Amino acid sequence: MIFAGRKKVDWLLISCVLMLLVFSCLAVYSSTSNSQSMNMRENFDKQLVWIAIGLALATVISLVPTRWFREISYLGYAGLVVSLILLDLISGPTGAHRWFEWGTIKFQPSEFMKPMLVLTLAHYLSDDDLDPHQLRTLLTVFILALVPFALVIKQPDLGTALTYGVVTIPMLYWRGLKSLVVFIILSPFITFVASFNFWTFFFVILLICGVLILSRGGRWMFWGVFLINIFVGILAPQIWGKLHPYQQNRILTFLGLVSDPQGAGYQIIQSKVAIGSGGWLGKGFLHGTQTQLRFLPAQHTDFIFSVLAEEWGFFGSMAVLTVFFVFLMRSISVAAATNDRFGGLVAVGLVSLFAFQVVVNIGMTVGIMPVTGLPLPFISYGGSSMITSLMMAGLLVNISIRRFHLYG
Amino acid sequence: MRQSEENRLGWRVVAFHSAVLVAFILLVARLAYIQFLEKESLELIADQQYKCEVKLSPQRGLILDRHLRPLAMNIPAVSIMANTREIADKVHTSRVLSQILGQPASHFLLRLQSQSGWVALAWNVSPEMGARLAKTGLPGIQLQDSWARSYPKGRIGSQVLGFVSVEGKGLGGIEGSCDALLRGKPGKAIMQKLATGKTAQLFERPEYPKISPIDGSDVVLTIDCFYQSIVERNLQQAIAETEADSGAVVVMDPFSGEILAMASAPNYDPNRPSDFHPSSHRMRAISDQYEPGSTFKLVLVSAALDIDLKRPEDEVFCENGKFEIMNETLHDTSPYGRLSLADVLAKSSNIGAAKTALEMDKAKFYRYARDFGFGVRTGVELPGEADGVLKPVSQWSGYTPIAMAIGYEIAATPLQMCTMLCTIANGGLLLKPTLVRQVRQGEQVLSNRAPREVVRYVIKKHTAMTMKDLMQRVVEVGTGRKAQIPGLQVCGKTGTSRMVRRDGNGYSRTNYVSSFGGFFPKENPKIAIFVVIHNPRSGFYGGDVAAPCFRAISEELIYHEGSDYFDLKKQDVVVAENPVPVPVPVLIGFNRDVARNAAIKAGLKIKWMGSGDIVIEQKPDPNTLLGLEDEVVLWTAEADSRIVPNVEGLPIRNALNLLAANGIRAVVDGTGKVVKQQPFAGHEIKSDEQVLLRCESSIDLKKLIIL
Repeated sequence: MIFAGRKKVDWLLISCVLMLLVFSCLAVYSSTSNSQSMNMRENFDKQLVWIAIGLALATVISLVPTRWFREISYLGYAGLVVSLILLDLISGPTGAHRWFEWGTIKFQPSEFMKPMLVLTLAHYLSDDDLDPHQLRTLLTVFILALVPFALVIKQPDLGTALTYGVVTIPMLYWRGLKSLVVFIILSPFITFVASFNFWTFFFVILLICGVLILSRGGRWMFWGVFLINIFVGILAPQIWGKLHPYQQNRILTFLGLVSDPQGAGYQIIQSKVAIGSGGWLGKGFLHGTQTQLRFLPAQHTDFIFSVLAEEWGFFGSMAVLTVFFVFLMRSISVAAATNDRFGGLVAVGLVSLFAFQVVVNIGMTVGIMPVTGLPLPFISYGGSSMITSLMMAGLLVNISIRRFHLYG
Repeated sequence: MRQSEENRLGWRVVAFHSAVLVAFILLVARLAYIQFLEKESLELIADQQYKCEVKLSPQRGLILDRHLRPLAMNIPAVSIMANTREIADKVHTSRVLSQILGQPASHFLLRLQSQSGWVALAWNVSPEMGARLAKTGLPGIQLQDSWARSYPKGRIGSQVLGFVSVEGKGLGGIEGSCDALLRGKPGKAIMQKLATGKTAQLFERPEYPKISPIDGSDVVLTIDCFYQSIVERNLQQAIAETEADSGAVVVMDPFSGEILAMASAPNYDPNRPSDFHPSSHRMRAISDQYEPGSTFKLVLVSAALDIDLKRPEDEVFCENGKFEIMNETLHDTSPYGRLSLADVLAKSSNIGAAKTALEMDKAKFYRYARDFGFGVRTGVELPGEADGVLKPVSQWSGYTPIAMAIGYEIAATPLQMCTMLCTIANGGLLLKPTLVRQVRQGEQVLSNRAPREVVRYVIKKHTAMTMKDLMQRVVEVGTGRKAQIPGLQVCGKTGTSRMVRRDGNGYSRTNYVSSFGGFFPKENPKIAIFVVIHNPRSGFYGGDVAAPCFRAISEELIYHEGSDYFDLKKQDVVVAENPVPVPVPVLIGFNRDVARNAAIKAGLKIKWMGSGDIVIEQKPDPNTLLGLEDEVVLWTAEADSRIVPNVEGLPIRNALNLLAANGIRAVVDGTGKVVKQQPFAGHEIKSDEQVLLRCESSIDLKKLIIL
């Protein structure tokens, strides 16, 4: 392995996180200090408080025995599901709630659900007697993910909801699910996305057929999967096309895909302008015009990467990407190096969560992903997101410390 | 089993690593694409959305009187704009605007609803109003700092000064004629605006070039605003007393052609010109030509003497008051028998003048009228000057010489009449009348006018001397007796002409134009004054209507300007008996002469400290009560020192005078009295620096307007 670990505390992992926190401070300061609203300018101080709390929690988490998490996972999962239901109930017809509020403190259960779902799935999948190819296993895993998915998509928060779905496949795969099965499960989703253009649809179907033939899975399976994909591919655009524009809009709005009050693609254009005008070295700290003149939307939260790219240029954004890359690669190595199956599964789940969020968020700022409102872990402003990310990092450190301990 | 799982796990780790690697390669590729390949087109978008070219307005030049007292200046103001797209509740917004700005809410509502985008709601309101409006935090309302033209003397000299449109263009008067000088050159800067479109929060960037505006030049007039105020007040009074329609007065220095004061009534306040009828904007002294009547006899008599046609003692038979010639009947006010030429002028005999004109060669009469400047614009630096009317001989009828002899069939402006008087007064030179003395840029004098501009020699010096004798007789024993001033040899001539009837059918029997022109003292005249009153209803003879006005103005000029023009002894000046204690006037900020006059007027003595020209300190303080003949101590400073004087506690106008006299520009914040100045007194200041004056209102302002 290229990222061979040491035996004790994984300092590389920790320094990656600390470097990301430094980027966060620079970017959040730059994007909030220029505001005229006092609330906005206080955000930097708040962010520092979140970081402090998060680091403290992460330290505690990294030091307690790993099995404790296994033991509390089902209870914690149940608790968060209940709180999501409660949140759904208190939401009036007008405004959806994403968080509980006590005075100035906001608690966003959907954020904490991310690591808790990973723990729960890891708990369930770490059972020695479990066969990942049993339908029962698959159904249990999907239902465990689907419950919070459904509750969060109602809020609506498509981005966060998707992260729940996203962790399932890598964890199942890690547990031993065959690549072919993974492919079969994913194929309808790929077909769905590809179906809006004939040629992409055509090639995807071709690809699926090829894989199925090469895998020699049997006639029944071939025709079954093939027909399902054809069916999805033909039906999806048909149904979408039959909808009135306002209905389409409503669905997009419901999914949180249209949050674009100033016209099509405004946010994306502004984000691209910010990144593009950064050049090699950027415009300098506090000198990004897109940021300082407030053309960049949601600059301290969703589009914080664009702030960094504008003010620190290609080098700055490459530095952020590199640190994330090292962090993720290292975490995968942590998962691989542990003998503890539960720990390995947790690490893989967390890596998937981080990777998904990083790719979707940065992909959004460069215009290759839809605007979903997913924060960039460790960097975006936001208490729940920051604390959750740091807690998750604490878990990874915990697993890395105990990687050679025997299970139990 | 264990081995195979390990093996499979190895594959899985590779799969995970590869997936992350591929995703990151995609992101980096996309990032590089945007940052390097799309860079230019994206920067173009960026430029388009931030860049905002801002015009930097220069400050309009000041208009100063001959003693550099500001007549027109700039005060900080605020213009109010609105972005209608940002205003949701237009009714509420216009109601709040109405409360603060005073205009009806409907006025604002109409503007807010009429168009979308930026609309101007109010130009040049006071900074206090702006601050109050800003405090309300109304959305979509934007304040823009600007300079408002301010005329600190109000109506004084209004038609000479003209005014400025909201766009900053000079209209009428010196503001109009010297607009190119005063306007300055606007600069520009490329600035950035916020995403919200707010332009108030612009910030400059060094890579964008900025062209600084060049402030307008200051124009120094020949006008003495002190004289001007005397003239205006007396003209107003004369018009009120005689129930006249309008009037004009010109005061000139006969040896330089400088116009010291020029007034036209009714006048207006250039600070709010639209509140007055447009006719009040007109400087009647140059725009209204009229048939001058008997004052024109001066031209006839001058010509007769100059060509040796007559001597003053030569007699004419005046037909006992009634003379029929060419189907017309001429009358004199009282029947005269034989009158010498001197008496023809003194008693203003129409018959005597007509007979003299008939004896004269037509071409010569025409030439003298022409030489005295009639029928041609004087070229004074004001817009809207009338030519006057002087018919060439070829268009004359047989009766024309008779009509012209008594000032009909010819039209002149009061200014032309006054230049004619100056020609006699200075010994025969026609001078070009002028209003602009100097053009300055800050301290630097850009151009000075020539001491005097001679148009031509009109009459012999000897003739002019004789004319002065004859004109003195007019005042001493003739029709102009009401212009007599004790202790002074005054020369003058009255004039009364019938106005042309409204229907254009001959002359009115009830509407007159009364005038009086004169100068003094007889030897080396210092001041020439021409007064014309249109359509007086109580009395109509020039000697009854215009002469008293001439006398009142003259007395005040002598009395106030003792040092400037006359070595009048104390006993010549009529000081009002004033047994009660007198309040000390505000003297700080005035120059030596003005301060002295103000003190003398108040009946106080002065003790001078220092050799400078500007009063910087006085003891006792203004408004202290003193007995008559008590002493006021005045400290003075050189006019060119650049040490900031102490102006705290002074009314704005005095403070500005004092600063201007020191060559210091000031920014005024507020109205009333200066409560704080920045930098403080005693501080040395560079020529381009300004003093900030923070002012608050108090009642003292009123006292100063009188001065």
